[in-house]
Amino acid sequence: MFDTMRAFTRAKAPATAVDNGPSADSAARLDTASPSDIPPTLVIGAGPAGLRVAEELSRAAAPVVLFNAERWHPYNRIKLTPFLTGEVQIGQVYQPQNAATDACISRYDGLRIREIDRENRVAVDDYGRAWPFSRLVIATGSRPHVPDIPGCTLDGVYTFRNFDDVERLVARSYRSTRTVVIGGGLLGLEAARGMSSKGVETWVLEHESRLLPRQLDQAAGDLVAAGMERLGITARTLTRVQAIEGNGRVERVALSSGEVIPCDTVIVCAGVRANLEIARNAGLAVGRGITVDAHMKTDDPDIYAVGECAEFDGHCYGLVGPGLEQAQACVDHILGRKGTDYAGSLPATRLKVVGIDVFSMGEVEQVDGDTRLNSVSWSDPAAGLYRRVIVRRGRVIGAIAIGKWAEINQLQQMIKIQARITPWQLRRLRTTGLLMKGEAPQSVRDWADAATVCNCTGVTRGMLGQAMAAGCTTLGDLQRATCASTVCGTCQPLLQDLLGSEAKAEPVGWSKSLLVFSGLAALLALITAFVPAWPYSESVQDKLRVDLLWIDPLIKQITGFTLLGFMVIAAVIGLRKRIKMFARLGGYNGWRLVHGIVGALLIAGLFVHTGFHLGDNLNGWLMGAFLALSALGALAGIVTAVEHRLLNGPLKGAKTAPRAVPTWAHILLLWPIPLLLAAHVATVYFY
Amino acid sequence: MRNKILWLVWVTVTLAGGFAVAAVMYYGGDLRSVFLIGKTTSGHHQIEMACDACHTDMFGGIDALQKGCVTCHGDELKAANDSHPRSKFIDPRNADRVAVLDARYCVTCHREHQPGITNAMAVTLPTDYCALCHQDVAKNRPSHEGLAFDTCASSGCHNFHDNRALYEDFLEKRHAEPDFKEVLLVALSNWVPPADQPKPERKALAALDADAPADRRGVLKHTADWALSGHAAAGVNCSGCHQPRKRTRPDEWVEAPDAKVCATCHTAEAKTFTEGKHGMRQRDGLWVSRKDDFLGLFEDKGLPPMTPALARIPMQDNVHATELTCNTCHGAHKYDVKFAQIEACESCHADDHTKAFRMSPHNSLVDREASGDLPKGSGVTCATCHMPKHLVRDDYGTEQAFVTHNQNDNLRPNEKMIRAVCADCHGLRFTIDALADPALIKKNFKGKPAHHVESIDWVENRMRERARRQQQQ
Repeated sequence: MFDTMRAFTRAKAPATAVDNGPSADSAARLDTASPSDIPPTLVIGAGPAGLRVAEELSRAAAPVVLFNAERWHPYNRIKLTPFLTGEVQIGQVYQPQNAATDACISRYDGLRIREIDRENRVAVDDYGRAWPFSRLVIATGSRPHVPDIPGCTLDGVYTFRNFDDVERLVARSYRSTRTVVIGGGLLGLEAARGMSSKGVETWVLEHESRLLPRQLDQAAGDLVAAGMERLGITARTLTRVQAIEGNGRVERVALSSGEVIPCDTVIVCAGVRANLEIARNAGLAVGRGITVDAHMKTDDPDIYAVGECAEFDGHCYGLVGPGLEQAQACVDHILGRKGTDYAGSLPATRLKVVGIDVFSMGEVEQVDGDTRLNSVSWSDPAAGLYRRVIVRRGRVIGAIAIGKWAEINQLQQMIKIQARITPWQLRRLRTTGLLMKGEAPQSVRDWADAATVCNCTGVTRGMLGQAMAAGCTTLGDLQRATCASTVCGTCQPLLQDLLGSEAKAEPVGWSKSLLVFSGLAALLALITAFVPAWPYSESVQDKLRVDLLWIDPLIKQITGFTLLGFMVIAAVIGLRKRIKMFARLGGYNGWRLVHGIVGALLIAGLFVHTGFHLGDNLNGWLMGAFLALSALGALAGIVTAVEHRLLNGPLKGAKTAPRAVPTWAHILLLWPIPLLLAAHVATVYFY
Repeated sequence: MRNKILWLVWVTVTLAGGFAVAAVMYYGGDLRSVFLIGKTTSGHHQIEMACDACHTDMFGGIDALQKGCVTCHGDELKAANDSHPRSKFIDPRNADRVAVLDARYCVTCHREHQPGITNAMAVTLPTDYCALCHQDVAKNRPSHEGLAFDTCASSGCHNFHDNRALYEDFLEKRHAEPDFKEVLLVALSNWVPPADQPKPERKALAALDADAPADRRGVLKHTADWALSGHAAAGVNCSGCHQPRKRTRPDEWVEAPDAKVCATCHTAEAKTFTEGKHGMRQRDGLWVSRKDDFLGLFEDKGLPPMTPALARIPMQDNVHATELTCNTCHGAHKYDVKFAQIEACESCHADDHTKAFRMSPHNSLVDREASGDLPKGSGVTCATCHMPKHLVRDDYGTEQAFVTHNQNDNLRPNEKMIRAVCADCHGLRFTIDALADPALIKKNFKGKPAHHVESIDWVENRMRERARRQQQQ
C-alpha cells in the first residue's frame, strides 16, 4: 500500500502540477508540508455536480483527481433525449471542457472507485490501487429504480438513465414496434418522446392519476397528456402494471385491471435511488442519500457528498440546479472561502416536456389536499395554457404553468423569496392570466439582478452582468465564466440577447443645465422651509423697508399674482403632451428645462411674497404643499439629470426609471395646489 | 383609462373642496378657524370665530373693516378726545399726511392676525411710528432733542389717541400735587342722587312679601338671601326677575333669568359688561354661523359666554369651564356687592397683580374701612380701579351713577386710569411714575415707583422758562 502511494506521488504529481507551481494560497494553507506531498482532492463521479466541484477546485489551483466510472467523457444527461431523438450529435452531449487552462486536474474515465479507506485516507479503485486524498467528494449520483415487477429481468426491459441506456435504446428503437414506458414522471415522458420520435408506437403507464405527479396538478397533467396524444403517445394514468410477460423476451404487459398490452419493449422509469453503497461501506451516515450538512460535509470532516447521492435536511434533490448549488457550497468549504451555506433548494422544473413548456416550482405536490394553502388558477384550453399560483398566508410559495408565460422569471424570483402577493394580483391572474400590471420585461437586459437566467445552473442576471463587466464579450466567455447555458442550452438566446447590445444609458438633453436649476430649486426650497422668517423692520425710519414686501397689501397682491402667473407657466408643461400644437414649440427636453427654471424662480419669488413666513392654517397648508411640491420637483429634476449615471452605475438593470417615483410624487402633490390656492386668494378678498 | 379616472377624481375632489370652502366662508361655523391667517390679538381672540364682527361685509375691503372697528370702539375714541381723529385725515388739506400714514383707517396701524408685527396696544407699526410725522419735534420742544421715537408712547408720556391725562396743560395744572392727597376718598363711592331729582316710589320688601308661587320657592335660603339684598330693599320682588313678562304672560316663570333680564334695570352696567373682556362674547350681533342650512351642517349659533379657559392671563386651575355671566360674580338672590368687588375677582384671576392684592396698601385701606378706622369710601378694592363708578346724565337730565362693567375701559393704555381713578387720592407725578412701572404693578403697588417719568419735570422747566421770559419782558 505504501509503495503504491509513493508510486502515485511519483507518477501523478509531476503530471498534474506541471508548469504551474503551487499557488501562494494553497502554500499558505498547507504550511507544514511541501505541495508535492499533499494528496489531492478526489472527486468520485463526473456527473454535473462532481464535474463542477472538480472544475471549481481546479480554478483555485487546488489539485484534483476526478474519477468517472462511465466509459464516456463526462456528458450532459439532459441532452440524452435529444440525442435519442437524433436532434443533437454525440459531441453536443459531451460536457464542454471548462477547466482552467493551467489547472491541476486529472480525470480518469472508466475508473470506478470501489471503496474508501478512511483510516489510511485513501480511495481504492477497481484495480486495487490506492489513491490518497486530502479531501474526498462523493458525487456518485443515482441509478434507476426498477420495481420488483414479475418479468422485469426479461430481455427487452430497459431503463433510461445514462449513456449506456441510451445507446441500447437507440439500437432497440429501430426494431421496436410498440414500446411501453412504465412511469409518467419526467424521465418517463422524455423516454417516451425519444422512442416515439423514432416512429415507435409508445404507451406511457402511470399509476397515479396524472402525468408528472410530482410537478403538476391534475389539470396540468391532463394538458400534458393531451399534448402527448397529439404526438401520438398514448398516456394511461391510474394504471398499475401487474407483470411483464413473455417467453424469454418481452411480449406483453399485463395490467392489474386484467388488460393486456402487447409490446416488444418496456422502459422502466420508476424513479431513482442514490448510489450510496460506497459511503455506507465506509461507515458514513446515510439515509435515503448520504447525509450531509450545510457545507455538504458528511460525518467525516474530510469527506463530502454532492448531487443526487447527497441527502440534505431529509431531501435528495434529483435536478441539476440544486446539485450545482451544492457543488458551490462544497468547494467554498474545501477552499476555506467565505461562501454561502447550502440551505436546501427550491428546485424549479422548467422544461420542454414532449414539446410543451412545463413550469413547476415550490410546494405543488399536495396542494389540493392542504387546507392551509390557497391557489388561484387560470387556463386557456384552446391555447393550451394553464397557470396556477399557490399561496400560503399571502405569500406565494409555488406555481405550476403549462405553456408560455412571460412573467415566469419574475414569478420564479417571487417564489424563491416567498414574496407577498396582493389580492388584486391574484384577481388579475384569475381574470387575465397575468400577475403583474402591464407587460413583463421583455428583454433579459431589463431583468432584475436576482432573476435567474439559466435555470439549470442557477446563474442570475446579476452574475452575468458581473461577468460582462469583468470583460466577457462572447457566449463562450460567459459560459466559461459562469457556466450558464452549459447544460440544456435553452437560455442561450437570452445570453445572446444580453451580449448583443449592451446599451448604455444616455443622458437626457440639457441634463447639465437641468441639474443646475433643479439643484438651485432644491436648495431654495430647503432654505425657504428651514431658514427662520425674515425679521420685520423695527423702525419706520429705516431707509429700506424690505418687510413692506410682506406687509403692504398692494405689494402682496402684485407679488402674489406674479407668482400665480409663474405657476401657470410652470404647469403648462403638462400641455405639451396633451395638445399637439405645443409640441411644435420645441422638444420635451427644452420644455423640461424651462419648467425647472420657472420652478426655481417660483421658489425665489415665494421669498418676495412671504419672506420665509410659512403662514398658519390654510396658508400654512398651501405653503407646505407648495414647498413639498417644489422639493420633489427639484428632486425629480436632479434624478432625471443624473439618471444615465445611475443606470450605468448603481441602478443598472432597474426595472423602472429612477425618475419615475419623484416625478409621480411631484405630480401627486400638485393635486391640492389649485384648491388651496383658490381658497387662499378667495379668503384674502372675502375677509 | 387610468389617467381618465385620475383626472375625474381630481376635478371632482377639487370642485367639492371648492364648494365646501365657499360654503364655510358664507355660512360660517367652527371650520372657519382654518381661514385664520395668524394668532389673533388678545383684545379680539375671544370673538375671533365671530368673523363678521370685524369683517362686516363679504368682499367689503378696508371700509368694511373700518365699520367693524368703529362699531365697538367709536364711542370710546370720541370720549377719549382722540388726538388723531379720523376727521383730521379725511380733510383734503392733509392729503400729504395721509400719504405718509393713512390714519383714516384703523387697520393702517392696527392689523389683526399679524403676531409677527403686533406690538403693545395691538399696534402693528414699528414702535417709532411717531417719527413718520413728528421728526421735527425738537424744534419746538428742545427737551425732546435726541429722544428716540420708540419712547414717545412707551414711557408714560404720550398716546396716539387718548392723552387726557398726559397733555401739557393737565400736567402743568397738577404738577405740584403731593403723592397722597389730603382727603383720601374714592370719588362717587358715597354718591346719592341730588335731592331735587325725582325718585321712583319704592317700598322696601321683607321675606314675607316674596311673591313667588309656593311650588317655585325652592330652598329657603333663596328667599332669605333675597330679603337681605338690595333688590328687596328697592322693592324688586321675585317676580321682578323670574316673571319678566308678567303683564303679558302671567303664568310664565323663568327658572334662571339671564343677563337680558338684568339689563332691563341695569342697562348701563349690562352694556358696559359686553364692552369688556368679561362679556364681549355676549354682545348682540355676534354669530359663529348664521344660517340653518345644508341639512343641519350649519346652524344659527352665537358665541357661548366667556370662560377662564379662553383667557391668556393666568387663571385659577379649577374654574376653566366656568361661564362668565352676571351671577358668576354677583351670585343669584344675594347680590352681594362686597363679594363682587374682591373675592369674585380672586376666584378666577391668578396673576401676580391679583395675588399681591391682599398684601397691598390698597387692601389695608379696605380692612381699615371694614374695622371702622376709616370712613366709608376709603377702601380701594379691585373694582374701585377696574370697574369705577361713572356719573352719567340721561336724556331727561337725570343724574345717575353707575359702575362700568368694562374692566378693560381704563387699561388701554393704563394712563387712562389716571383721571378716572387714581387722581382721587394720588398726585399726578406719583401716578404717572407708578403706572409706568410694570414691576410695581405686579406687586400691586406695594412699594415706591422705581423710575421717574420726566415729562412733568420738563413741564416745570417750561413753566420756569416762561416765567423768566415774562419777567424779562
